[in-house]
Amino acid sequence: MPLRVRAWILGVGIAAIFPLLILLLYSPPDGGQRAELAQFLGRFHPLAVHFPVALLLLVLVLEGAALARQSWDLRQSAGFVLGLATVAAIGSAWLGWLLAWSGGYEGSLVSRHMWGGVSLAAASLACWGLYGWKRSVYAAALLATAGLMIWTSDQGGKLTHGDTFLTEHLPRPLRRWLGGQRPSEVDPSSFYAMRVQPIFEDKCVLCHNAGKFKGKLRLDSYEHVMRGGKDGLVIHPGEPGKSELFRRVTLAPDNKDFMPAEGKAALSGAETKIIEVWIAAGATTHIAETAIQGLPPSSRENAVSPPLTADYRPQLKEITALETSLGVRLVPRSQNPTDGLILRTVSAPERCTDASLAQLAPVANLIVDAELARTRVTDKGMQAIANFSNLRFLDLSNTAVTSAGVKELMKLEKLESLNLTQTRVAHTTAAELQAKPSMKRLYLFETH
Amino acid sequence: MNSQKPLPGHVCCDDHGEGPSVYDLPVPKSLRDEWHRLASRRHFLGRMGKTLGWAGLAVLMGNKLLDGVAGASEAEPSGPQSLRVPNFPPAAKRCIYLFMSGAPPQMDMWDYKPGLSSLYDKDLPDSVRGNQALTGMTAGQARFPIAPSHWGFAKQGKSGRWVGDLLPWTGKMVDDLALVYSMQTDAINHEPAILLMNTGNMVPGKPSLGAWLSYGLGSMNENLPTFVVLNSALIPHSNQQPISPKLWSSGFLSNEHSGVAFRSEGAPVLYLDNPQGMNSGTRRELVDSVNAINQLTYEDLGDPETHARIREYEMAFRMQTSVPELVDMRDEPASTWTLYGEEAKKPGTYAHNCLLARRMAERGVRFTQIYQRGWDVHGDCVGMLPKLCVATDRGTYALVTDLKRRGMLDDTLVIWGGEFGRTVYSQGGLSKENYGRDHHPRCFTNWLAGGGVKAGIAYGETDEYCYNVVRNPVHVRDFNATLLHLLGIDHEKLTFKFQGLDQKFTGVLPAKVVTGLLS
Repeated sequence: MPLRVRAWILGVGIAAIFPLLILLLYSPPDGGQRAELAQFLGRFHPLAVHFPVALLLLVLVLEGAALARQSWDLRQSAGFVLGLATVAAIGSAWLGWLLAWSGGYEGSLVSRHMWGGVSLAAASLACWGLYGWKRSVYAAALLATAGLMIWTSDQGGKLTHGDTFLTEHLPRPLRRWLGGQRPSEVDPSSFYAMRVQPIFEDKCVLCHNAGKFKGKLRLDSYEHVMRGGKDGLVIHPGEPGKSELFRRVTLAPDNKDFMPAEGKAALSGAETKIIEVWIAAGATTHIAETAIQGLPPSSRENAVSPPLTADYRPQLKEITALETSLGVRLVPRSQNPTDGLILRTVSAPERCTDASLAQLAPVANLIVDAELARTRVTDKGMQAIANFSNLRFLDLSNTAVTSAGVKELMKLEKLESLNLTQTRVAHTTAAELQAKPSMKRLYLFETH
Repeated sequence: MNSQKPLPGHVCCDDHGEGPSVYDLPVPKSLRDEWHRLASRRHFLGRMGKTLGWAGLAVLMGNKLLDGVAGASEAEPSGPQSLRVPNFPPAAKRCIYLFMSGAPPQMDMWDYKPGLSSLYDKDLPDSVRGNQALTGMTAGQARFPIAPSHWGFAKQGKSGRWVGDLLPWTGKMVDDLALVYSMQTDAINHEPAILLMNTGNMVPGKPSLGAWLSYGLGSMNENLPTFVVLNSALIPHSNQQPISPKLWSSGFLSNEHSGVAFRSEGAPVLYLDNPQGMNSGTRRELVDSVNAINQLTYEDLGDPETHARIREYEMAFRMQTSVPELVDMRDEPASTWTLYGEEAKKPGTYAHNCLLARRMAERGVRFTQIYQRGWDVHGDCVGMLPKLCVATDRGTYALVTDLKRRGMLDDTLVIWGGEFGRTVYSQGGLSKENYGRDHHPRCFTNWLAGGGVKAGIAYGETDEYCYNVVRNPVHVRDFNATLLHLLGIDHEKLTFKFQGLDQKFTGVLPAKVVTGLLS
């Protein structure tokens, strides 16, 4: 190719890239949304970017093959493909800027990707300029360009799919080796877990979850809430007014930005208030539920009761084994795994004895409600029950327990309901139990 | 098309040899021709192709496809874990529904309207009735004379609620009840109305409340049914409306969720006793053999209803031991008979059923429904109502009081009510001595007691004619949503996919939990 033609093309290439550099410096994307046409064109960016990626890889393949087979034809083709790749890279960079500038993007991830994209366009152009001159310099430049391309594509991919997309299902040993981090555990008694997350779960996660992340936003975990969506962060700690999430749920319902969209149930005043207070207090998971006062109580259905016990699910195997061997049932009180278990014996009360109670020791702390009416438990079994530290409801009616055994129950700090109907417990003992601060209901029908 | 000659050969195969073919079966010729047309070789191959395609898709999708369908996978635990029910810790674990079939007159028992006495024999103003369509029984009446209650009312309990003199026993426990004066229904005739109360729909075929509870919450005692229906003995000369098993049907839910109806006389459950010469071991072997045959049928056809049948045989076998113990009341202390009265010793009476319901509650029956028929007082209100109240008043009082003193009212929900109310105007002739009352869907009184219910309140208000609700109306579906709520279920969340719809107990129209009734 004559030198003049080459210089001319290089000049055109530089002329195409230079204005983009200026725009990047003086008009960076700021999260706002702009002209419809710009957005329309910009949205072809995710489509167009695949051309420079594939074409540059093809150049590498062609050059590699040419090196191996000393083929002049292939080398010729590499030059042509490199030219195409450069044009595609410049075009994609422009489309990318249009999308970022008009589509409401901002943040460091977008900036990095954009600088990567523009550099890649320039690097491709440089490679093309070097093509056919010094082979070693050209090879180095080509390899560097390929590296730059991989890095830039990775940034773009993270922008689209979230930055754990690639590593999320990394095999465990590999992850440990790479030092990848696991999502941190959120304290279940925190204000976030008890008041804020339930609102998201109730009203938002239908569209913002792992499977369907509208606006690239997921609200199904604290990490994702704080990571934001395609428009950048949705929570600015301490600044509810600046937080997109708060803004959107408090707009007028007929506003097109209003969330939840598509006529789904809006957040109640109490719910938006909870979110506002949480953001204002720093939007962390460290604030305890009890630390924030003066809020309207959450509505009955959505109320998340404080955990009564630990989560039973890790012990599920043990629970099932105990159910089978003892002939009792250990039933979750509700779908909330920290509401504890009911010890149910009514299918075969005669099978439940003092020995069964002793064998329940491994799950003793999970039992909130023990239905022991008409079982064969006696005073001896009360020692085992005294270790059911989270027990709140106990039914001992129609059993052989007496005052001596029932005294053991004084140790149960949370016991609020005790049924001693048709037992041989003396009323004097009952009076002692009645005096327990936690005790709300005590039944003594047919006792003496 | 029917005149077309049958084509020679087999449905699927041209060369079927000498043996008998489907064409030898004794079926009408038209049906045979239809088979022929429907199942050509081309159809067979086409269908096989589609089947292979679906099978391939099923493999690709794995269990994901089935995850959304409750009970679709046998490996899934049934009951609470798979349905994520209870949605929250329930206020009440079990429920006893006292159903006054026929519809008791609210203004004679609960909803005190002292102003009516001065309106005796006056015409009910047209403005009150509006454009309401009446039943065929009174639509033709020349006038609608107001019939004030024949009985007095008195303030009862600490809450000072007015209770009719017909209910001396229930009146004593009014502080434990939440009266709902403002019940409303859509139906004006018994069958649709009683279906609406029990199944949430006026058209038969939907599961009843007990079936939904059995499906959602599961069984507490595997040796007794989860849902039992007790039909009380008839009250002589009362106007009986028929009730039928569709009121305790499982509808589209698996058959094992339907109610088991105990009989009011003789053996409570038929055929539970082993016949002569059959001992328990032989019976066990018999049930095992039948189950094995049923299991083969299941493997052949894959109909889940076959498994329901197997479970029912098992339940019946276990009930051979559990039911005799349940109905044997010799272990009841003397205090029981003092409370329920001697009438309760007579099997089949309402009082006896109330005691039985308490015994079932103790033994982990999730839902017991007692029906007392005869409340359809179109005529001779003054003659019949006292008999109906005497038959039920003490049993009702005894049940709630017994549950309370035994500490069981905290987690048992008790419901009392009928399917609609009755008119303030007299049906037929009105005299100082007697009157009749027609069906009235616009207002009636039900009450709730027990776990999670705000005791001692009255909810809602009717106008001075006891005809229209003027404050806090409670539609049947709101009432039903509230019942589910008290039992730990969000009525929007307990669903079953059927006929393209996520079916709910409360139906498709929006229902709301009546928070005013919750403690």
